[in-house]
Amino acid sequence: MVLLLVALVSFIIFRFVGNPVENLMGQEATMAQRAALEEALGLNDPIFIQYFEFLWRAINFDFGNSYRGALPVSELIISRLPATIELALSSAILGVSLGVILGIYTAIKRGSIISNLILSSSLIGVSLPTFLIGVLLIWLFSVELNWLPSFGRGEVVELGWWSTGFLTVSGVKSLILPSITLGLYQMTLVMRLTRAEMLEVLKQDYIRLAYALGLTKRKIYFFHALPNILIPVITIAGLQLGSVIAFAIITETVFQWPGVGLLFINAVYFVDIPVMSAYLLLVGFAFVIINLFVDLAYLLIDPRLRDSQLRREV
Amino acid sequence: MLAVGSFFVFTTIILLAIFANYLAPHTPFDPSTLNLMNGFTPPMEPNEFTGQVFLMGTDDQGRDLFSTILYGLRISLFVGLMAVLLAMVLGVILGLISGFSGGWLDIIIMRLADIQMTFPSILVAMLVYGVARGMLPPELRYEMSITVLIISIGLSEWVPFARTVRGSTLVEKEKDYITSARMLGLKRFSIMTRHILPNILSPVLVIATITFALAIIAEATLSFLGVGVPTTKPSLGTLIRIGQDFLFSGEWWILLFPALTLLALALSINLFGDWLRDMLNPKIH
Amino acid sequence: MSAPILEIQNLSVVFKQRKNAQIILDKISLKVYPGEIVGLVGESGAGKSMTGSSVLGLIDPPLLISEGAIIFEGRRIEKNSAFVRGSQISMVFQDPLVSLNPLRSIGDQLIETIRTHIEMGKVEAKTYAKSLLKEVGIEPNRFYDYPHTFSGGMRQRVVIALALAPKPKVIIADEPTTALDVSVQAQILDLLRKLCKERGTAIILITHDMGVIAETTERVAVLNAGKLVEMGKTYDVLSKPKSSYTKKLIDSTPTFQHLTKKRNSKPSFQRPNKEKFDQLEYLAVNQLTRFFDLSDPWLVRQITGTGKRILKAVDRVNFKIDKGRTYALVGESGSGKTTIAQMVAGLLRPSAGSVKIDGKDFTDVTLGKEELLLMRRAVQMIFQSPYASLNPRWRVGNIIKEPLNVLNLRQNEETKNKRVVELIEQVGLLPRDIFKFPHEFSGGQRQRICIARALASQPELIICDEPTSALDVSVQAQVLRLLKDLQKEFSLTYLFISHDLAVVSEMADKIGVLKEGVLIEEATPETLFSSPVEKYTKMLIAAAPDIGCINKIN
Repeated sequence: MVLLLVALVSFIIFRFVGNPVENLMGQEATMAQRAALEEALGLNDPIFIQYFEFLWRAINFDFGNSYRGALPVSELIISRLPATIELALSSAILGVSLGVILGIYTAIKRGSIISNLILSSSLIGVSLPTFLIGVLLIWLFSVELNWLPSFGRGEVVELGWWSTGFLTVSGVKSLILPSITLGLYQMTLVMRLTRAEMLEVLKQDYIRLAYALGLTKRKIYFFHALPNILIPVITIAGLQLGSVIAFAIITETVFQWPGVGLLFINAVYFVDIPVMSAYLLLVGFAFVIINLFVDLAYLLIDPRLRDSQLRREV
Repeated sequence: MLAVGSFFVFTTIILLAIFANYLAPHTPFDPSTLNLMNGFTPPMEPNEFTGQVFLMGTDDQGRDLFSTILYGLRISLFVGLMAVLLAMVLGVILGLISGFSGGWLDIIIMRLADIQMTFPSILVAMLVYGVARGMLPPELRYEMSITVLIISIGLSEWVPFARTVRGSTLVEKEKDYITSARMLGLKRFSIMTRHILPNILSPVLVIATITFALAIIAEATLSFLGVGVPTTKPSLGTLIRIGQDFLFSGEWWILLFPALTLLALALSINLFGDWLRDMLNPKIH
Repeated sequence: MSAPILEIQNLSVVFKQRKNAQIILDKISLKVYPGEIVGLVGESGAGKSMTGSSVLGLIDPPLLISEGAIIFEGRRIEKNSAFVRGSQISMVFQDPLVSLNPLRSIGDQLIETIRTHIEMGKVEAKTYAKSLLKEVGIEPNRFYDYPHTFSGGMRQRVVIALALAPKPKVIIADEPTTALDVSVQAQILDLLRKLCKERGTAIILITHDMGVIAETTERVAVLNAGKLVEMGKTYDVLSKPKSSYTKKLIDSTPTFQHLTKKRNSKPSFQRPNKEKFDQLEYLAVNQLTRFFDLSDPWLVRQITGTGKRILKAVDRVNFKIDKGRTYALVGESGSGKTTIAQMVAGLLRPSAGSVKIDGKDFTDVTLGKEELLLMRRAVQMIFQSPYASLNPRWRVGNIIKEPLNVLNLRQNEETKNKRVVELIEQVGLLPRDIFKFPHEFSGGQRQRICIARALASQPELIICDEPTSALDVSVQAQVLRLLKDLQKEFSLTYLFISHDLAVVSEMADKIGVLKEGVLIEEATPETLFSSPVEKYTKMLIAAAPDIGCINKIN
């Protein structure tokens, strides 16, 4: 459903923004040539048929050719996808795990010096734009200290069509700075949310009752409070994964990381419509997958949802 | 304490931006006053050719960095403010309609919001920006770039407003003072504007401050990526982009000062927003 | 008498923030003996919950114990209560809907509590947990069910089982039945009494309800504004109160006990001033019905093969109110009383049937604008929560004036302003109060503002939907008196909705009992309480805690 709508948006962009004929042929083409091309591209068919054809081609990974370079868009994307996925995964894991741990810590040890320190630095984290974090990290670790590389993926190993940077020293080294850059903002968001949810849950009556029943603090925090904050945290973590993809654009630009984001930003810059709309579909697809997992996680955690779902099925 | 400090920093920055014409020692955009010989002057050191001293140094073209930052602030603040206003008006109206009327209107608006949430705001802004550039004839692209930027950031940030307003509206409309107004036969429109709106404004204000910081950051990001304001009218993001190019050759100040300004601005707005949220939260009082 | 198991000596609690300290509890002393139920009663802000929380050390800064001692079995526990918490002294909270962890099965939560305090293997703990469930009246085979599958009363039983699990010697029950319907309340109180007797557990019962105190406790402590006002045997305190505060509290508590005795002669008091209106029928509700469609969307129903789910919220209800009289609808939650009120107020369309006000059908779609306006002027409503029924951003004067503006009474500003002042004085507030905002008033004063607003358009019928259930008893008494006075002065007609039989017995000329949307019985208070016909009505009357029963028992 969401995917269809996203596809519609990207179709509209593809079809109506900038005249494809103009883009393909330039100013000098004659009227007859134009008409022939319009016919060949199927632009004279009814709109909904064009939409279905667009969808059909999308399912078959056919997004047409890039305006620049005239390479098939799907090839371009597939060659660059592994870089982005590796970057997104490592930074998401970094951001979410650290975020949850710090969030719980600052909620439990409310008012202590360390948690106040963490909290105030998190505010700086929110205020620092991702690109600035990246630039500052480059300055410190690449220019001044010369510890880590400032651009590219380092050496990569080809595993079939997948190229990974996890297996070489220079690949891993190259991954460190971009992952921190990308993960830091997610971490602060996850942390602040976890903390807020935790504080809210700790005020609930069932936590007070658990106290009154003499359960230990450790049990209360980890067996009573933690499961109850998981739902909002998983929701936001899922959303974050989506935004990691977006912020990857920035990180990839800063670090000249050869991923899909860099491809997209160049597409925006040169108004390369087929690449833009394919990228849009890709992000939509990723989001739908993430959402599916989030929904499954809900069912696993909350018996109330499980029951209402079951009742539907019966 | 922190709030007072941040408020002070914020007002100072605003005033600096407003009175940039009078405060800036140089007019950075007038080529006739520029001297290429002044290029790459470090801060507070006399230039080796001309002997001129600049508070924060100069960039490659010999522009005084302090002046460029002041003028850059103007653009950043203007774009941020307009974008927030656009997002707020759009979000509040859609949120109110969605929350109060319910039904299919609600479903459509919220689905739209859901889908937009799929794409993080910076991506939406980029898309809108790309699409707008695609639709505009090339000769207008340059002139309209600031307007396009405002619209793209504004359109990318309406969802939090709409969500919050809808949520609060749903809570408020169940309260008995609304039932009481309905008993008097008041029209929906006047219930929305006279009764509900005043009661949901405080969360809107909090979101507005946070969004303001986000919008400024978004503008800086887009400009940094080269898809924002043109380099002839540099905003803070553009300045940082220029600065990054010279980082490796040791001219650190071109990057550092705009970056610090941007950080101070965003941080003071965020701190102020935090304080505002605590102030307006009835639970704390 | 044996030694007290728990003793509170001169307990003071302060709210300390920076330099100013506010005294919350002021030198409270209390003894609790094994196997007794001690009541702790008082109005909101009296400090009764605070006393309970202090015993278990459940208060956090800025609240702190400034002086006094809490002694459990000879040991002082006010500094460190962790070793008695749960194992020796346990607690039950007010709202069972939020006292259980929603994500874990009740059996799981029971076993966890048991194994925290008693050394037991898993299998053994499970057997013990099941026996506990049985003891509190829950089928042991529901062991693996999650809290959301239980009703409110059942959940409170689970909470009690949790509290009982480590075999504590004292249970502190903080308003354990306030969130429940009367019939369920009676069952829970019975359960607490039974446990107290069979296990010898002492129970501290914290409540605002004098009726619950009268029916459940052996001894009672009355608190007011953090001070212990009076303490003694429940019968002594209620029948011969020593302090003026206790006396006021008892006098404000409504009771229907005097009505339950069967009389041979006619009721001793008549209401002569109302006789002359008797023939004038003002409100007539005829075959009023309202369904709610709770079924899934059509498409989902087709796929899953489920049928429609229709809730009959109100089912063919008939009643009439004469002008200047009060008709009360009583019933438990879900009985449809609020739905009826909304239909009479014109806020909700009936599925069938009619509401006739002064002979005109309010539900008639063909009604003209002018007639509709007249109706709206004639019918007004007072709501349950005085905190939600006033717009917090408006000044009181504007709140009261709004009906004058909207209902098109063709008055100039000056007349309207005069009228607002007149109204605010009628409900016992001061003219300068019109410039204030609602949050500057207490709950009772806010309810007066609501009444002033309702009176603004000079209505004839006022629908009172639980108008006092959110208020303390002494404030409730004042508001009820105000409503009565206004009725006399303006010959108002009231439709009074309540779950509280005692309140209803004082206000109504006629009472209708609702059960699951059906009006099952209708009678004058005298007849209803002395000779109820329906089994359900009898049960309601028996279950309702009433302060008057103290004379009956002893």
